[in-house]
Formats: sequence, C-alpha cells, structure tokens
Amino acid sequence: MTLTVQNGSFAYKKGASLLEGITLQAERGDVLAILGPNGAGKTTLLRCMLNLCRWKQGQTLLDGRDVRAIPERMLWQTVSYVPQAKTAISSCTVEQMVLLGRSSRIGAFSAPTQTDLQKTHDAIGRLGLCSFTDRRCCELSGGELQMVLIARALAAEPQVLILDEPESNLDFKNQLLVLDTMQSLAHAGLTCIFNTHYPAHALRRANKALLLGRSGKSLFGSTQDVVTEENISDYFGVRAVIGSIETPDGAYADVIPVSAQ
Amino acid sequence: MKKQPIPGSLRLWQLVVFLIAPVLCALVCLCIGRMSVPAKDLVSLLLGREVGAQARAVLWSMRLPRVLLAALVGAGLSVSGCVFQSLFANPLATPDTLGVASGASFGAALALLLGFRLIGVQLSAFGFGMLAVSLTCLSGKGSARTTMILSGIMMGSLFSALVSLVKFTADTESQLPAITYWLMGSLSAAGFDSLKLGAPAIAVSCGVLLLLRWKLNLLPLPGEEARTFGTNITRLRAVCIVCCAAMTASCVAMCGQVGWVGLLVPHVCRLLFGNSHARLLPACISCGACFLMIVDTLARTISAAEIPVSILTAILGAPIFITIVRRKGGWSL
Repeated sequence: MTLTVQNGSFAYKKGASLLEGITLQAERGDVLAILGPNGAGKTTLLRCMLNLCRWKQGQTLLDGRDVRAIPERMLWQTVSYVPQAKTAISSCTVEQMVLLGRSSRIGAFSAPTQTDLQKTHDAIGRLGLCSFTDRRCCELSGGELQMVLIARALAAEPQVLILDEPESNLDFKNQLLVLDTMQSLAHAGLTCIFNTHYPAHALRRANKALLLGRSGKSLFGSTQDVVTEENISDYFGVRAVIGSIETPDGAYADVIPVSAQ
Repeated sequence: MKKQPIPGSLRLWQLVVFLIAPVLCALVCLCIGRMSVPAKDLVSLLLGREVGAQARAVLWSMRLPRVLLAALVGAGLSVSGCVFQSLFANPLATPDTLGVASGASFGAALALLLGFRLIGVQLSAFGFGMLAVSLTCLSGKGSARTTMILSGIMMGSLFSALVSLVKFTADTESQLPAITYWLMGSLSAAGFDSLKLGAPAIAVSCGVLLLLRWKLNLLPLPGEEARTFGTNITRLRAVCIVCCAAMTASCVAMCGQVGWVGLLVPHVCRLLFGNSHARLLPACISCGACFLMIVDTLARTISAAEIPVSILTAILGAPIFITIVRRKGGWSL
C-alpha cells in the first residue's frame, strides 16, 4: 500500500508553524525513516499522517485516497500505529494487551475468536515475547513494553506500520530484533515508516528518509542522498562523519557524531 | 487444533458462580430478619403454595422488594464505579466522580424540602443527578481526563453546598431529620413502586455495558492510542458516561447515598478476576449485588433500630478491602 503526504503543513494553535510543505511517499516494501532534532515535529508528523491531528494544509493519501475520507474502522485495519512506550497504567496481561490490537477487526458487540487469539500468539512469537505472555503490563520495563506495543500493532495484520521511535528504549539485542522485524515485514510487502534518533539505523535499514529541521524545513529522498555529513550538520547542528566498518561479513555503514557546532 | 480460552474471557465456572451466588444470597437474606421465616415457608411461597398470611406479607411486600433493591443498587454502583475507574484510568474514581450522586442528593433534598411524595423525590433526584453530570461534561468537554475529574469534583462540591443550603433552610423538627436520614442512605423505603421507577435504568445500562464489554478494555488507554484501534472512543466514552450516570442517579434516587460499594467492589473484583471487562463486569454485578444484600440484611437485623446502610458498608468494607489489597500486593487498574 502506498502512503503519500502531499504538501502537509501543521501548526499548533498558538505559535509558529511546526511542519511546512511536507511531501513524502512510501510504497509497498519501503522502509522510511524520519529523522530530526528534538522538537522538530517528528511525532506530530506521524499523528497528522494518520489523521490523529488535522493537517492545516495538504493531505495524506492511502493508495490515492484521502485518509479523512476513509472510515476509521477501515483505516485502522490497514494501518497500525506504535506509540512511544510510556509507563503503562494498565495492569492487564501482555497477552490481553496484544489481543487489543485485534480490536479494529472485532465488532462493537462481539467477542474475540480463536482466529484473533491465533494472530495474537503469532505476533507475540514474532517479537520473542512468548516467555512473558502472562506478565502484567504495568510491571514491564520501558523496553519490554515497547516490544509488546509493536506486537500489538502487528496483531492487527496491517499493510502500513507506523512506529514512533520504536528502538529508543531498547537494548542492543532488542534494537536489532525490532529493526530486523521491520525489514522482514517490508520484504513481505508492508510499508514501514518510523521515527528515529539514530541516523545509522536509517542508513542501514531504510531505503527512504525524511529529514525534519526546526522552523519547518524538510528534505525527503533516498537514504543515501538524505543522510549525508553535510545534511546532518545542517539539520542537527552536529559535525558527524559517515563511514563504514569493514568486517569479514561485509561493510556496515555508521554515523559518528564528532562535535556540536 | 485444541480450542484455547480467550485471555480475559469469562470462564464457564465463573459464569455459573456469578449467576448462582446472588440467587442463593437473596434466598438466605429473605429468611433472615427481625422475624425469621423458616426456609420451608419461603420454598412454599416460591412454588406458589399456601403460606401463612404473616409470612407472606413479610416476604412478599417487605423483604422481597428490599432484597431486590439491594441487589440492584449493589450491582449498579459497582458497575458504575468500575467503568468510571477504567474511563478515567484512575483507581480512585467512584460513581460520584462526575458529581452525579451529589446532584441527585440535592434533587432529593430539594424535593423533601418542598414536601414531595416518594415518587417526586425519586424523579427529582434522578433529574438533578443527570443535570449535574451534563454540566460536568459541558465544562470539561474536549479536555484531558484529569480536567474532567476536576470539573466533576467542582460540580460535586457545588451541589454539596446546595444540599447544605437546603438543610439550612429546612424545618429542624420534621424536614431536617428526613433529609439527613435520607442522605445517609437507607433501603427501608423499598417498595415495588420505587423499584419500577429505578430498576429499568440500571438494568438497561448494565445490559449495554455488558454488550460492550470487550470494547471497554480500550477505555484505560490514552485517548489517542485508543483511537488507533478503529473504535470511536469519544462515542464509547459518552455511552459509558450516560450509562453510569443513569445507574448512579437511579441508585441515589431509590435509596440515598450508599458510599463505598462503588469503590470497594470493583477493586476487590479486579484483584480477584483481573482487569478484562469481559470478566470484570459480570463479577462486579454479582459481587456488588451479594455484598449489598448481605450488608443491608445486617443493617436491618443486628440492632432494634435500623442502622443506615452506608455506615455499615464503610465499617465492613474498609477492613475487607485492606485485607484483600495487602494479601494481593496492592491495587491496580
């Protein structure tokens, strides 16, 4: 499924506009990384994209159809959103939390079926959470909760997966697990869009990237063209070197921040 | 493939227990009282056989409506407390969080001051309860859930002040005791007439919430997150608020303010049966009904003069609650 943002602009009620003239496109099999400094509006962009916030101008299209015209229930059967994991207040079990992901496919007065349970278990298995299906969400660490939220999004069997800083709270292994999962989902035909603070993750995993700067400027293109030393200095105010680390298995791109400007 | 139980769903044994417990409770409570009725009279009455006129009068026109009222109010307040806790993602929420009970109390006090009859008192209580919740919703509309709670507290204290004003103007010989006693909560006025007026709202609201039980699990999530599951969360919340307010207002209209049930029962049920509403709501209905039937039976039997029920709910409720919370290691939503 193709997600397109055309000329999207947004401003909170008071204050200068946050996003201006954003244009991007992610197609089936794409992994799109959104990069930018704190407060540049990365989360807001995701929310606008999904009609959780209203664009001031411009629009989001899903396969050419304006998301505002798609009934909520249909929309959330095709798109899944993984919010940033804050501490959960809910003390339901992990299994119940992931099962909630099926909600868009369950009628208002209906109960989950065996199929829903099966999809729930598939999603839990995919993120390696089998060992804590019965743990309570409020007892999980931030990183564990993040994995649960991703599983919950996958349980909905979406065609577009949108993640807000999915790897921020995770340890090395879980970071890899999340990035690998995203990539394999994209190979399987999903469209993945994620916010990240790690340019290196974008370089290694994403084929497209969007750079958001303060005061509304943005740059969209293939990751190779967008994540460059020059752009990082321009958008983040950081001098960074981009290189690759060579190992017997191959070369791995990396971005090393050197000094703040 | 072996059929697995859906996590959080109501198991068969639980359903059976939740259905049988209130019935058993009611039968026992019917037999107990200042005049004890032998079980065989009760059985004969239920089977439609002849029983003594006195036993018939006590069971049929005095105890039965009262036991039914206790069951209804217990269930209604528990469900409403439970749903408000989930709705506001706040373990301290009670049926009165949006000011419903204070509004209803004011309605009742005003009606008593004006010398209305029982029906008038009930209607006025229900009306003012719903008015209070509408005002709260209007003033807290579109804002965060904590703001909503705050406006509820404000509305509650506004109506409490109005109740005090009514008390202040009331005649100290006749009206003030009536108002005070009514506010303390008592099921002694129970009759089939008042049940007919209050029961439908409670039954319908419980029914609607039970139908929505799986969707209610979305309530505690942050609003925006809940929206991403394709449910119109604003509408769901509105339905919940209307149902809970109607239940609470009906309860207050029938028997005054019965405190504690709406906080105690949901928490005990959460600790015992988990937080999935598919299981929690039936548990609250059943446990709430049993709890209030038992407490009310105690209220009318342990001393010659009847003790107001909300005094007993607190005296009995607090230790039970603390014991369970300590044993289960804390409370949570």
